[in-house]
Amino acid sequence: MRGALVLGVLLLLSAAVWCHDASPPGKPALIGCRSPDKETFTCWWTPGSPGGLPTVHRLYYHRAESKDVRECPDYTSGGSNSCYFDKSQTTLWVEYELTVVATNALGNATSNTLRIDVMNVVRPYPPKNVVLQVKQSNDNPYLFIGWQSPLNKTKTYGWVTIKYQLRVRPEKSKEWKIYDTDLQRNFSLHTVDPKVTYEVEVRCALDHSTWSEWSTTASIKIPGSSQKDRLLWVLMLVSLIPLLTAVCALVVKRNSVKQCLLPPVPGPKIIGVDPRLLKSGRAEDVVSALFGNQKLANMKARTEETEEFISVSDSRDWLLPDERLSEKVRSLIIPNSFVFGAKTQSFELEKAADGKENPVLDRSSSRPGDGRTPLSPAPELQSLRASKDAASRSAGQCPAHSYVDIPTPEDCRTPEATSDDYSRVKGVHGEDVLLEEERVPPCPDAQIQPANVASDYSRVAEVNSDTTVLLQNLPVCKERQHHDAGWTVGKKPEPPGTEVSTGSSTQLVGSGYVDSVPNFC
Amino acid sequence: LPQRLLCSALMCKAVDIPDLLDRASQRSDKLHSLSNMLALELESDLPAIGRVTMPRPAMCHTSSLLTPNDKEQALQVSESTLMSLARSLLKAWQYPVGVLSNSANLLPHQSKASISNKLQELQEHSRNLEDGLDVLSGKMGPTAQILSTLPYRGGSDLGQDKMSKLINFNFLLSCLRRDSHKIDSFLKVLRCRAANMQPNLC
Repeated sequence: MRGALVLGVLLLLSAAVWCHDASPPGKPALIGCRSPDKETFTCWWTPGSPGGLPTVHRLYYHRAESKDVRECPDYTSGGSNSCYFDKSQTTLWVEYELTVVATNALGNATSNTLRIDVMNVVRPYPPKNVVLQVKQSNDNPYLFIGWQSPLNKTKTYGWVTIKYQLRVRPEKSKEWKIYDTDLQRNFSLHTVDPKVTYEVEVRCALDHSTWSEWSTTASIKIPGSSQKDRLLWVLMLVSLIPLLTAVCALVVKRNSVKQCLLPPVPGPKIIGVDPRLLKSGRAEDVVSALFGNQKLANMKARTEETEEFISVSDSRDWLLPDERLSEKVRSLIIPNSFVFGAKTQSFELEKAADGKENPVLDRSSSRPGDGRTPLSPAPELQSLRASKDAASRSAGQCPAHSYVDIPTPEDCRTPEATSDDYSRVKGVHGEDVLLEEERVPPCPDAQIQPANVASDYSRVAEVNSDTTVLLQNLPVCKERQHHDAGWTVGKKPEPPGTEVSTGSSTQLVGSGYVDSVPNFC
Repeated sequence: LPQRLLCSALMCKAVDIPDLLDRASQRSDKLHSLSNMLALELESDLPAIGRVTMPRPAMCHTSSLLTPNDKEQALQVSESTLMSLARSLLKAWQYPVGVLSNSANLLPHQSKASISNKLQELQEHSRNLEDGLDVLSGKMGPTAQILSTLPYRGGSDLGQDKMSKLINFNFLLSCLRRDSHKIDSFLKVLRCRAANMQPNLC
């Protein structure tokens, strides 16, 4: 009764007051109430427009059947603009009528009346401490989810019955899967995939009340490999074994692999000419070698044979007439082509200043008339040339500059051919090769020449006997810097009975050819 | 769960009251769930004017029954009294639920079929619970047997016009919701008290 009177007076006051600068407060509005535990509840309001003066808000309530108006017992526990009703103030299954009044010096304003039954505003807070654990069950992982009640009570049922609900989804999915757990505070999810991150949220309700908000999201990644991953690893390992064995085999047999992939380029070789016979030095052997067996060796044998050789010398003791040699040469069958090209192992000859200082070269100046049949490079050269021509025509190239130069056909003349690394063969005289007399040409432009046609070459003056080529004593040109670079000289063990010319050393140059380029193999 | 032995002259029977209470509270839980759903469903469709003119909950035919209204009171009252109260409330709704169920088809509501189904289910649960509580109260003593009479004076007809029908329906369902919550709460407290050595922790 008194409360109603007070309210009435306040209302009159608010009506009578006029404002100047400040104004009476705006009308507050009661938002609602919430009981998180079915034992207490809190109500909130929003203040109206401030009047510019300090405003006080008061909440008044009374229970439905009673006229007894009371003021809010606690304005602070629930936060600002709230009223908290503790256990002693809370009555269920009874209607409350609530009002908020805002007052300032100039007046007051009353809010709407809110009627509530605490039973209807029960809504718990979300569950606490959501815990995720990955556990194993028969080699399969499963997700164990645990949480705690938002209330402090430990009993599962009694005055209040809490039931829970959780939702799960893989990280990237947008759809949740909902599971009811009733009174349980844990849940085991078996339908999880390895290597996937899952998000989990839990909420609860009291006695069929409104559901709480969803708890904070907890996430966890299921470790381990799936069946697919395991299979992949197994397959990878299995496929690695043959790979490893192949690599091992390659490493072990690298030499033979090298031989296979990068076969050494054979030096000049003439099919049907057995170099061993030439080496022997005997006339009949040479003749038979050159003119006899003219059967073609098979390609395989040829590739195995690596070298052919011509020894060179500086002296100019003899000359060969042209015609005789040509006749003999023409009768020969043209063998298979040589491998031409800049990459071929160069037929490099050390150029000696005077032909005497370099012991490696064969300086034998055996005279025509020695027992030894001069190496007739004529037929060899001719066939060389012929095969060269054939090769060049077939390869579309001009002969390389690795060999003793023989007059090439007109269409094949290349600028390099005119370099001063070669001696031009003027002709063939009998079994000797006549070389042109060369003037000392200027050093050619380094760019024109291919790299391996370096200044390692010596000019051949003439071919002398069967194993000697006489080198010309040429003045050094400026570019010729590295004569001694990378000699690969090997000496083939001479078979017994090989005649060695007296006087100067008749060392066989190289194992067939002279090159300054290191071997591939 | 502790078992109580009731020994009569010749025989001792093992009476599993907690178990019976457990079953009873499960059924009362279902009952409350149904009434809650129904009340909310109809309340949402009620126009504002209906809410204003609806009778206040104090007008419910069961409101004269004095019951505990908070946890302390529920724990202080004897178990037999709680049982008696639960049973009285349940009994008081036997007839009105029938009226609701019969009137559902005439209800001016779009989902009246679903409402009708729920009401029928509710009726069945109510009957089953009544029977169960009768058995239970027999084991709990004479006080549990007392039934308070709470007559329903609403009549079999819920109203002549659409709005009256809706309003009355809503009003009855709101009353039912409150009372089913009471029954459920009392039985669950009873269950907790019977199963625990420390009832004050319920």
